[in-house]
Amino acid sequence: MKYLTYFTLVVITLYFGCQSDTPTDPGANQTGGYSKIHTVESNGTKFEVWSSSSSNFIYGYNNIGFKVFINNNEKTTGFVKFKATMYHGINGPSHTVPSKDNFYYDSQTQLFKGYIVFIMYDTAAFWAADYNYNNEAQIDSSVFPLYMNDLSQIKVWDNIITERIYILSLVSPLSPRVGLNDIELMLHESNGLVTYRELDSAEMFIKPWMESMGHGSGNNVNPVNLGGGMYKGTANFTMAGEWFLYDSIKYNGQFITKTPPPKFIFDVY
Amino acid sequence: MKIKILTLIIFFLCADNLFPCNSCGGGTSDLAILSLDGRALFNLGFSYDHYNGVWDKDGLWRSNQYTQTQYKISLSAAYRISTHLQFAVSLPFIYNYSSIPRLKNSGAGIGDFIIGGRYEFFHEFQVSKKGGKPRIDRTLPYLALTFGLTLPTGKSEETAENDVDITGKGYYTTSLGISLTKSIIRSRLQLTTDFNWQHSFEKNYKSYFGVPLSSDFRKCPGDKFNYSVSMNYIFNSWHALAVSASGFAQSNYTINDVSGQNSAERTTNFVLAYTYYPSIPFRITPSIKWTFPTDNFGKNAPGSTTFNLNLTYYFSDLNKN
Repeated sequence: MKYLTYFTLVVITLYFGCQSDTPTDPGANQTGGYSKIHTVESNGTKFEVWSSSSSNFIYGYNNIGFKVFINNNEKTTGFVKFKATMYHGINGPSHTVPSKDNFYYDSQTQLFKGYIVFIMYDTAAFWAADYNYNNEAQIDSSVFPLYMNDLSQIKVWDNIITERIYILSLVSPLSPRVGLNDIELMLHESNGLVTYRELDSAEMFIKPWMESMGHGSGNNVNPVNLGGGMYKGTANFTMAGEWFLYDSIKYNGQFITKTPPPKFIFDVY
Repeated sequence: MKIKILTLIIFFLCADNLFPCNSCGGGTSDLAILSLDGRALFNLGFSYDHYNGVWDKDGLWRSNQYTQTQYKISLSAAYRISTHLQFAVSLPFIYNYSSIPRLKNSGAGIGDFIIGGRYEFFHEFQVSKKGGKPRIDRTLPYLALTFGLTLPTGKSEETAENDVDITGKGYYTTSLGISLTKSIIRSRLQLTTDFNWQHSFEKNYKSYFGVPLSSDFRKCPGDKFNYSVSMNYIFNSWHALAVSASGFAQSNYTINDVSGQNSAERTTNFVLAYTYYPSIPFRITPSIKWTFPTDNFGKNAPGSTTFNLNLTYYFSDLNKN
C-alpha cells in the first residue's frame, strides 16, 4: 500500500509538472499559411517575422511577412522596410541580399507581405537586420540565425558586357514531381551585391534535360514575367531521376546568361 | 519437330528489350528465326508492357507513380535462302498510354522497321559422311553470325510533340552478333546464348519535341552490348518451356561530340516462355518478361513487366517435302 501511494504521487507530480503554465493557442503562431519564425522588440516597438517558406530564415527564397506592434497596438497601414546584411566577421566585408523594397499590408493574411532571398550561406559569417516601420519606428542591427535548406537553389553570374551581376532564384517548386510542374523564378540584377533591382521584361527560355538518360521533354512553357521580378512557366519532367532545368535569359535584346546557361538541378520523384 | 520448337523458343527469347519509356525510344521489335527445315514463317505478336519504374544514374530503383504502358502488335516474317542463310523483317504498330495528369494520355503509330538475318555456320545433329558411312554429328553446336539494321520509320522525339506519340528511336542502328546453341539432352534440354553488339549512328536534330532548333544538336547513342542466356526444356511434341536471363550494357551517349556524364546504361531481366504446338505449322507462345525492382539491377534504364503472345505459322522447306 505504501508503494502504491508513492507511485500515485509520482504519477500525479509528473503529470501536472509537465503541463504548461499558460494556455497556448495553436493558431496564434499561424495565419494564412504563414507561421511566426522570429521576433525582435525594443523600446515598445515589436516586429514579428512570419514565413510561408519555412519555420526559420533559410538559404534561398523566403516568402515572408511582418506584424508590427507599437506600444502593443498592431499596425495595419503604411509599410515595412527590411534590410538583412551578411557580415564576414567583425569589421569584415558585408553584403546585402535581394528583398522587397517595401512590405505593404495585406488584409487577407494580416501581414506586411514581401520576400527576401538569402543568396549566400556561410557558417563563419553572421546576419543582422534593420527593421523599419513607415519611417516612424525602427530596430537596427538585430542579429538572427540563417539555416541551410538543401532544396533551395540560387544561380549567380556576372556579365562583362552589361557589367552587372544577375541573380536567378528558384521560388517553386523546390521538390518537383514527375509530370508538369509550374515553375516560379525571380530575376534580380546588382552592381556589387549591395543594392538589387527586380528585373522585369526579360525573356526566359527553359530546357528540362535528363543528363543521365540523354533526353529532354515536350510541353514546356517558357516563364513569362508577372511583375516584381517574378516569372512563371511550366516544366515537364517525364520520369523520376535527376533533371537539369536550363534557363537562357534575354534582356534588352541580348542574352545575359552565359553558355551553357545556368541550370537548376532537381531530384524528381 | 522438337528441333523446330526449340528454334522458335530461341526466337522468342531473343526479343530485344522493349520499354514503354517513350523518351528512351519505342518501336524496336524482334526478328524471327527459322529452323533448318523451315522455308518461311509469319508471326503475329501482341505485347503489353507495363512500366514499373526506373533505375537512376546511381542504380537506385524509383517506382513509377503513374500508369504508363505500351501495347504493341508486331508483324514479322522470315525466309530461308539456303542451309546457311536466312533473312527476317519486322514491323510493329505501337500504342502508348500514360496517366500523367495535364499531358496527352495516348498516342499510336508505326514503329521502327527491322531487317536482319543470320549466317549459320553449323547446325546440331547434322548427317555427315565419315569413311564413306553417314553418321550424325553430336559434337558441333548451332552457331550463327547474326546481323541487323533498324530503320527509323517510327516517330521519334524530333517530331513527336508528346511522349506518348514516340514510337521509334529516330536513328539508324546496326547489330552484329553470335548465336550459339548446344543440346545438353538431345530433343529435351538445350542451352542457348546470344550476344550482339549494336552501333547507332548520329542523328542531327532539326527540331525537338516539335520545336524547331536554332543551334546544332547532334546526338549519338552509346554502343550497346546485348546478351541472353536461355535454358529450354521440351516436355513432348506439344509443350515446351524456357527460362532466360538477358540484358544489356550501353556506353555513354554523345551530344555534339561531348560525352554525356554518367550516362551509361545497363539492366537485367528475365523471361519465362511456354510454347504450345496445336498442329504442325502453327505455334502459340505466351511469355512474360520481368525485372526485379530493386537497387542495382539496372542503371539509367526503365524497368517493366511485359506480357507477350506470339502466333506463328510455319512453312516447311518445300525442297524436302
